[in-house]
Amino acid sequence: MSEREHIGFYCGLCPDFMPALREARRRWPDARLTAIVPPSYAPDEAIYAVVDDLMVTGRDAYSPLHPLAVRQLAADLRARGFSHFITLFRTTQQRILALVSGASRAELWDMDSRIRPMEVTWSGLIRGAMRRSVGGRLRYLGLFLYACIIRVPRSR
Amino acid sequence: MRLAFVDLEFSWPPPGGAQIHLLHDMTELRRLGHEVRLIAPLAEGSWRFGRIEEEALPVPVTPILLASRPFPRDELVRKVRAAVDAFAPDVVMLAFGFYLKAHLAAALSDYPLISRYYTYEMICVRDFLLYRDEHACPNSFLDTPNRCRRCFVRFWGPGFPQEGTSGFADEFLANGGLHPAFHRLWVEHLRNLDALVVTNEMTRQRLEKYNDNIHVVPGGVSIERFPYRPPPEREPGDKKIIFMSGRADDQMKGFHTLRRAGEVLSEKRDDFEIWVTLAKPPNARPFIRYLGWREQDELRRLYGEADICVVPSVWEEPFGLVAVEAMASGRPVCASRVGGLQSIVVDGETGFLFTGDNRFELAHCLGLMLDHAALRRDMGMAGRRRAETVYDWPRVVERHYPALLESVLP
Repeated sequence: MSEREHIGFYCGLCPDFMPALREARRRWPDARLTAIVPPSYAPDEAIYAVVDDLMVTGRDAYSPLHPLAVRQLAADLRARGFSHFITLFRTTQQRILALVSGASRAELWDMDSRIRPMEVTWSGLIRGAMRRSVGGRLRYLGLFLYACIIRVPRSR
Repeated sequence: MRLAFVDLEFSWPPPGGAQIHLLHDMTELRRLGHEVRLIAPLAEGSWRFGRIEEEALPVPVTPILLASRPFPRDELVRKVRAAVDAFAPDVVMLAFGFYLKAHLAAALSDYPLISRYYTYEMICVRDFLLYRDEHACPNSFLDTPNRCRRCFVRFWGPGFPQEGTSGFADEFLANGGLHPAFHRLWVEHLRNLDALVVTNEMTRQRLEKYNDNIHVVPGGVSIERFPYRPPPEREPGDKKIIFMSGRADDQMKGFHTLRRAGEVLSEKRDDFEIWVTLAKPPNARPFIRYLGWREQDELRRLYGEADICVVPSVWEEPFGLVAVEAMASGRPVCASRVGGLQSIVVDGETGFLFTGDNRFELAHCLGLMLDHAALRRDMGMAGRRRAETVYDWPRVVERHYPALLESVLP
C-alpha cells in the first residue's frame, strides 16, 4: 500500500484561498493537506476543518532580493516532505518554489479554474521557460501586427 | 411561465457574487410561480468554476458535460441548444457567457431571448472592467473596436511568455475575438436580443443605440443575513470606526483615496480609526487597523462595530454590493459617485456621495459624519429602510421581472 500522499498547497498572496483548499480536500479526502500561507493572510483555527496542517511563511512575498529568506523557505518546504505541491499563481517564482519543494508532482491551479501540471525538474523548468519566452513573444508580436493591420471596418 | 437560465460560469458553492445573484433571481421567480431550470456546463478538470453540488440548489439543473476551458464552442452550443429544446421554455435568459454569448444567442434566436450583463463584458473585451490608466475608460468595443483590439493585445501580450493570460482572454482569442467578423457578430447579437439586463444607468446609456429594450435591474441583498444593528455606543474619547470592506487590495476599490482622506483628517483630529480588510503593509499608518481578509460571517459582525462605512471605488462599479450590505446593517455610507454606487446611496439621506479619487471631498464627508452622531444614526436608519424596500431580493425580482418578461413575449 502506498504511503499517504502529502500535499503542500501554496496559497501565495490570494486573499480568498479557502475555496481552493476545500476543493483540494474534496479531491484528495485521505491525503495529508498542508496550507502554506503568508503571515498577513494567516487564518484562524477554522482552517483545520479543511486542512491537516498550516505552514505560515516567514514573509508575505519573496524575491531574488532576499536570497536568505528564499533559501529558508525552500529548506522549510523540503523539510515537510511533500509528495505533491500545488500553487495558485503562474509566476516563475512559484514554479521554482514547486521545484525546490522536492515534491515529485506539482500543479498550477489558476484563478480561472484551470489545472495544469508544472515542471518538477530543473531541465523541465528551463525548457518550459524558454518555450514560453520565445513562443510567447512571437505570439505577442503576431497578434499585435494582426490587430494593427487587419482592421474592423467602420460599421454602418 | 417556463424560464430557462443558461450560465457558463455557474458553480455551487459559489465562487463569487454573480452566482448568488443568479440563484436569488431563479429562486424568487420560482416562488412567483414560474417553472425555472438552470442549464450550466460541468467542466472536467476545473476547480473553481463549472462544479455544481445540485442537492444544495433550490432549482433543477441540466448539466452540460464539457472538457475544461476554453470551452469547445460548437459542442457547447449544440449541447445547450439540445438542453433548451428538451425543456421547451417560454423565455431563455442568458447569464454569464462572455465571448461565447454571441454564439449562444445566434443558436437560440428562435426563443424569446434576454441577456444579462453583470459587468462590462459587452463593452470592454480586455478584462470587462472598463478601467484604464486609473480612470474609467471612455472606449467601447462596439464603437471603437480597433482601439480595443490593440488595447487587448497590449494588455495581455507581455504576459504570454509567462502564460499570463486569463481563461477569458484565451477564450476571446480562441473564438477569433480579434477577427473583424467577431465584432460584426458581437454587434448583431446585441441588436437581435429581445431584451438586455444591465446593472446601472451608465451601461444602459452606452448600449441604447444597439438595443432599445434595456432594463436596469440592480442586485440585491438578503436583509435577514444582514440584520439592522444599532449604532455602537461610544464613550467620550472613544475612537469612531470608519470601515472599508471588500477587496481593498485591488487598486480599483480606491483604498488609497480613503488612506489619503484619513491623512487629511488626522491633521485635525484623532477621534477615528479606519478599519480595512487588507494585509498590513510596510508603511502602515497609525490611524488604520489592517484586518486582513475576513470571511462573510465575520464581515457582518464588523459592520455592527463600525460607525461609518466607506466604498471609495475609482472604477465604474457595476453595482456595489458592499454599500447595500452596509446600509442593510444600518450604517451610513460614504461612496464615490461611480457606476451603480450613485444609485444605491441617496446623497444626504443614506450617506454621502463624493467624487472618486478626491480625498478632500471624502475627508469633508467623513468629518461631518464623525461630528454628528444623530446624522450617522438617521442616515443608517434611512439606509436600512432603503435596503428593505429597494434591495431586498424578493422586492428586486417582483419590481423588475414582470415587466421584463412581458416585454419579450410575442
